[in-house]
Formats: sequence, structure tokens, C-alpha cells
Amino acid sequence: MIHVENLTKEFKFRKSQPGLKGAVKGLFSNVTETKTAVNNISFDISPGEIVGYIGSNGAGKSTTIKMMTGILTPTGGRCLVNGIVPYEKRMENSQNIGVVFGQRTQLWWDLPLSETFTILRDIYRVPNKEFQDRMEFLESVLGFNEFIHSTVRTLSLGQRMRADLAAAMIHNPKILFLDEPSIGLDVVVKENIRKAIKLMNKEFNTTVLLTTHDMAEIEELCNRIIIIDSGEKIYDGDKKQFKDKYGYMKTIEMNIANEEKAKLLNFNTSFNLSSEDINWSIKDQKIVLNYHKDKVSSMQIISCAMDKVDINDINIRELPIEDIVKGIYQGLT
Amino acid sequence: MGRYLKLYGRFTAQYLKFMMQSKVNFFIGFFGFLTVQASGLAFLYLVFQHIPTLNGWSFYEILFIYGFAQLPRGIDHLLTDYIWLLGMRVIIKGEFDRYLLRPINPLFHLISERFQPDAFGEIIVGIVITGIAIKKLGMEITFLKVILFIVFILAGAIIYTSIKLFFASLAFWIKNSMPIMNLTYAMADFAKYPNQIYSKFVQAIITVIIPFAFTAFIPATYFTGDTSLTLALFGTVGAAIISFTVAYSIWLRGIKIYESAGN
Amino acid sequence: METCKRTLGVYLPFAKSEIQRALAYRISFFGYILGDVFQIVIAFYLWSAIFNSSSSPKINGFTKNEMMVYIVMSFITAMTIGSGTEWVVASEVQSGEIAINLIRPINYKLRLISQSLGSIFWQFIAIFLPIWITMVGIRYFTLGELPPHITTIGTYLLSLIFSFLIWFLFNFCFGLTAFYVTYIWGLNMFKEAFVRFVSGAIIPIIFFPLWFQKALALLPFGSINYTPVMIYLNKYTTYETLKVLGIQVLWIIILYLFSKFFWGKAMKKLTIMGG
Repeated sequence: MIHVENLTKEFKFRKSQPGLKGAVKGLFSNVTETKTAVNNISFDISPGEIVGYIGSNGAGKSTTIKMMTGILTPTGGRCLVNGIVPYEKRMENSQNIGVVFGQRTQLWWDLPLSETFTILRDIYRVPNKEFQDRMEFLESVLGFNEFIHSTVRTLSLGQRMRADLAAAMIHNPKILFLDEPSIGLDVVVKENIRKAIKLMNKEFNTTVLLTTHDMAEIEELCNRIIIIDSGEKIYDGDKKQFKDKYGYMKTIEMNIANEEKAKLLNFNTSFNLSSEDINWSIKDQKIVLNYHKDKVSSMQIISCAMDKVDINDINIRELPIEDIVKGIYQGLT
Repeated sequence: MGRYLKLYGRFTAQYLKFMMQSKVNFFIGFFGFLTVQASGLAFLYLVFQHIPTLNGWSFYEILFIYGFAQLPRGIDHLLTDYIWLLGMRVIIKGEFDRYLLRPINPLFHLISERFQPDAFGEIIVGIVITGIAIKKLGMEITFLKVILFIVFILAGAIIYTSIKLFFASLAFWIKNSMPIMNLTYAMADFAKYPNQIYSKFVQAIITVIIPFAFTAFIPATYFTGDTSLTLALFGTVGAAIISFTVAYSIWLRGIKIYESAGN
Repeated sequence: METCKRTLGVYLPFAKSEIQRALAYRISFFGYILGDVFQIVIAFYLWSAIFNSSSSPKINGFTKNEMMVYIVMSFITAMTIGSGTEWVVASEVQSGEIAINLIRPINYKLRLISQSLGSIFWQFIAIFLPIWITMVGIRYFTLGELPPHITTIGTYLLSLIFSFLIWFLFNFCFGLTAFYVTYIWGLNMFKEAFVRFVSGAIIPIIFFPLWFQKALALLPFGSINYTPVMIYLNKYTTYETLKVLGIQVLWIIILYLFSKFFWGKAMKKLTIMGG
């Protein structure tokens, strides 16, 4: 369904210098820099797959998606979406795809939501019966009827997201690109959106490419994960493999009074785990520790630490993508 | 083609509905435009209290040109107002992507984003003034003249839109093209008055380079008998075709740049 | 003295920031200004043609030369005293930001006027001076005409300051209407077009029919543009000059009272509705 081959994208831009002097200098000299946003990426996605496309900010995710949706032309390599080269046959390609950008809406701002739907029906030439059926399904899954007559401008972020998702599906695209669809949403709405995506994938066999920072989202939706960092693909495999290999790491931050005493701690020996499964650093009166949550529990870690040092405060959270990526690099070397 | 007409109809109907929801706002905008037009007219009227003719043009001839000038401008303003936003905001805020993601012509999509009923103020003023002038000048109304009138107005509107599109598309390169759009649009006012009052240099610019002269003065003066049919017809229609071709190519070029540089 | 210095310290940054902002956007700025300059160009040509078509060298007491100066002076007068205060107020009302002013220990009006002064300062340097100097220069070299006497210029500048205050206070009140109207854009266009016309920017007020002139005398707009420009052109006797200056001061007082009144009402509305 999606074929990406040696895809590369370089950007040239002018560096501007700060301050008044810099502005004046900027009028006369042009220092251009080249940034490689996407570097030689290749992968294939089969119909019906839900793929998580993850990486830290600026890793090149949005750029890749823009090339697959036809908005951006690559500097090298090529990609095929449902057999079409997106940036060459833009209009044809747009008939096959649906796109949801988390930060920007595709809806008509000043019109009631219902109008966006009917206009899209006409733009994509969806036959009336098909339109009715699909709207019924989407309503059951996304529940937008309660605000369908409101102007899009007045919708809350959660409502707008659901509407954007519905709008992207009206023409039953073969592929759905979701770029950070649940950013800024609360837990309940996120859950609903995830359910909706799963149902749509099941019902229509829609291929889904999802970029996100939310590991829980990956956990629930994707069966395959592609990780991109600094424009390069550093992992491509199924979710279980990913979980087994890199685990679902968590981070504990412990505020301590005495750094010296904390330096005496050695969690590797205490739990007989490698530094892949448990590693930590001590700085600014804090122990920041990453651990594999299936191999050791937070309670064990905390009681181990309390043995040697007084703990003032504790903060537990999921490992951010950046650290997972770091972990992957460490695992590779 | 028919599909686009249908789509456009749908877009417009929606916006009309939306605009009508706030009648107060509609009327305020309407009167805003009306006032701008009215001051121009009052100026002419007051001035003509002191002079018999302006460079040989009578008051009603000047009025006719002035009124005529409003019509293409009004139509362009009514239908393609959103092009301003291209230069102002769409590129800068990355809103352009959506036009590339849909299976319809991006220019059509851009234009249909907004329908500006305020412009009816300009159009109505134009019609009224032109009507009064026609009556006072005792102009003959023939079928041919009516057809030509419509053709000239539509061609003039196309010229306006093209010039606007050309400078708006510069936003693909310079991001914010509002200042230069403002600049060129301000030049449109030159065409409200007879060409002869300007220096040859100015006349050349507004006829050949940024052809506002063909939106008002030249076609209008065909009806007053001061310009030949050939010049008026071929000039106006020719200018419309040329300016649209140029503008549309820049627009397409701009999209290519956008696609290679992102935003 | 101390409070004076302290006040300056608080409000000067607002003026400075306006200038900085203007500098940052200077290209856009000049683009916009050039657009308006076309209006002068058209006016030049029109008036040339008008005087050429006139049987007498003077129309309503203006010679062609005087009219040309009138056009330029009324343009740069208008450009210099405008500061977008109505937009600042209106947008802060619409965004709700204006509520913050209830909390801050800064006088809203003083802050606005400091910002305006920043704009005015910039506009004076960037528009007024260059255009005025150019005009004086051109007229000297082509017509051998000297600029007006220093007292005339001085009186003009005094009148200009008054104009600024009148326009500022008026726009402040106008901006507050954003509390009641949502379509400020259209209303503002109406206001700008109307004021432009009746303030003499398009055609000297003396051209209007007498009854209209009398009606206009009840409004402050004549004092904003026509008054200083006519002073510059030496069109008034000493007595008349003092009279029109006095009228300007009167309008400042009236509008100041209006502004206090509207501000009070707006604050009440704000605290009741909660922004």
C-alpha cells in the first residue's frame, strides 16, 4: 500500500543573526545552511496495518508524512502510495488518503460542522447512499451529532479532533495519516479517539500511519512500530518485539538530601539487572532512574534506595521517547 | 467544469447563510464601503461647483467612468477576497497545506473560502452612479452595448483578480506580501479618473505594466465615444487574458516552490 | 519630581517597544505607506487638471500652489497622528486581555498614550520629516519658495500636538465600542472613511456647502486635520488662529471627559460580566 524507498529531504535555509547588528548584517550576507530532515528512509506498509511512526520532535516525522501526502517533494528517493507517486499526482493521491493534523484543522472554520461534511462529500464525489451509511457509522464511533450544527470555530479541541477524524474518513480513504491526533486532549477523549481508529481500521481495512508521542497510544493501536531519529530510521519491527527488546521503561525521580550517600547505591547489583534494564544518574539533589517495569517494581527500587538515603519526594513517569531512542542507540552499540 | 460550479454554489450558499446570521455586521460593512464611495463622489461634486469641465470631461462623463470603475472592482472583491489572505496569513501560518490535500484545484479552493457580501456595496454604488450618468448623458442603450458592457466588466474583474493573485503569490517567496499587495491595489484608483490628467509615464504604467486602465477608463470611454471599439474590446479582453496567464503561472510556480521548501 | 521620574520609568518602555516594533516591521510599514502615497499622487494630478480647467487662478481662496501644499500637509498630518489606538483597545476588549488592566497597577490610558507616543515619534521621523523636507526642497529649487516662517511652523506643531490628543481620545472611546459591537472592522472602515472626508484630508472644508460646514463645527474632526494644515498655510489671521487653537483645546477637554465616562461604563460592564 505504501512503498517508501531511499526517501530523502534536505532543506536550505538562511541563518539569521540576532539583534540590530545582526539584522543589518543579514541584509548583506547570505549564510545558507542545509538541514537533512529525512535521510534515506525505506519501508513498506501493507494494507490494513496500523503503524506507529515515532520519534522525538524534529526527527523528521512530519516531513515524511508531508511527502507521502504530496505536499512536499523529496530531494532524493521516492515513495508510492497505493501505486501513485503523491507529489506527482497530487489530486489523484488525495482521493485515496485522509489526513488529520493534530495542530491544524481541515474543517471550514466559519461554517457549521454539518456543512463541512456535505462540502467534503461533494468535493470527494461520494455517492449519497454511501455518504449516509458512512456518516451513521462515524457518528456511532465518534459521536459528533451533539455538536454537528455548531460552527467549527466554537468547538472544543476534543470535539474538533473527533470532527477532523470524521471528515478525513468521509470518502473512505485507503490510507489514513494521523499526525499527532491526540495532542492536547484529555484522557477520556484520547481513549475515544483510539477506539474510533481501531473500529474504522477493522470496518474498512483502512491502513493507518500514526505519529505520536504518546506511548500508550502506540501500545493500544499499533501492531508495528517505526522509529525515526534525526531523519533516519532506527527501528522497524512489530510491537511485541519492541516491547520485549526495549521494554516499557519507566522513570523514577527521587528527590534526595544527600548526594554523597546516594552515590553508594548500585541498582544493577542490587537487582542483578544489566544497565539496559536499569540505569540512573545523580544530579541536582535528584536520582533519575530508568527501569524496565516488568523486571523490577518501583516499590523495590524505592525501598532499595531508602536503605541508604533519605527520600524527600518521588515522581514516576513513562520514559519519554527521547530516552527510548537513546536506549535504542545504546542497545545497538 | 459543471462540478466546480456546483461546488462553488454550495460554498457560496453556506457563506451567505453564515453572513446573514449577523445582519448587523453585514450592514455595518456595507455602509463602510458605501461611505468610502460616497466621499469620492462628494469630492467630484464639490469640485465641479467651481469648474465647467475637467480637462474637457463633463461632470457626468467623469461620474460614468467613476461608477464604471467600481463594478469590476466590486465583483473581484465579492468573489476572490480570500486571495488577500494568501499574502497575509495562509502561507505564514501553514494553512496552505489543506488546499494541496484535496482533489480539487487549489486556486478554486482558496477562492471559495470566502464570499464577501460587503462588496455588494461597491457594486450597487457602481450601478447607481453609472445609471445616473447614462441617463444624464443621454446615452443610447443598444443590445450590443449591453453585451459589451457586461464583457468589459467581467474582463475588468479578471484583471483585478489576476493582479491581486500575482502579488499575493509572491508570498510563496517572501512570506508576507501584504505590503506590496496594498501598494498595487492602491494603484487601481488611478483608473477612476481620465487617463489624460496623468503624466505619460504614469499612463504607461497603468496601461501596460499593471493594466488597471483597462478595468475602467478605457472600456468606459468607449461608451462616451472617446475610445474606439477595437482598442476597448481587444485591449480589455487582451489585458484580461494576458494578466490571468501571467498571474496563474506565478501561482503555479509558487506552489512548486512551496512543495520543495515546505513551510 | 520623583514621581515624575518614576512615572516616566514605567511608561517609557511602552513607547520604546512601539518604536522597536515599528523598526522590525519597517518593510511592511513602508509598503503600506507607499500605497497611501499613491493617493497623494492621484490628488496632485487631479488638482492640476482641476486648476487647469478653472477660469480663475484661485478656487475658494486656494491657488494651485497652495492646494499642492495642502494635499501634502494634510497627508503627513494624518499619517503622523494616527496610532491605531482603536485597534489596540478593540482587540484587547475582544480577546479579554483588557481585564488584566484591572489588576495591573498601570493606568491604562497612560500606557496607551505612551504606546501612541512611540508610534507618533516613529511616524514623525519616518514619514513626516522626510516628506516635509522633500516638499520644501522641491519647492525651493523649482519655485524658489521658502518654507513658512518659524512661528508658523511652531504654531502648526502646537496644533499638531492638540490634533494628536483629540484623535487619541476619540479613538480610545471608539475602541471601547468593541464592548458592544463585534464587527469592529466594518465600523472602523466607516469611521476612517467618514473622518477622512470631513477632516479635510480629501478636500478642504471650505469647499463644503455652508450648512455642512456649520454641522461639522459640532464635531471634532475639523480640528484634527484641517486646523493645523490651514495654520501652516497661513490662512488664518492671528485672531482666527487663536480661535481655532482654542477650539482644539475645547475638544480635548470634551473628549477627555467622554473618555472618562466611557471608561467608567466599560469597567462596570467588565466587572459584571467577568471579561
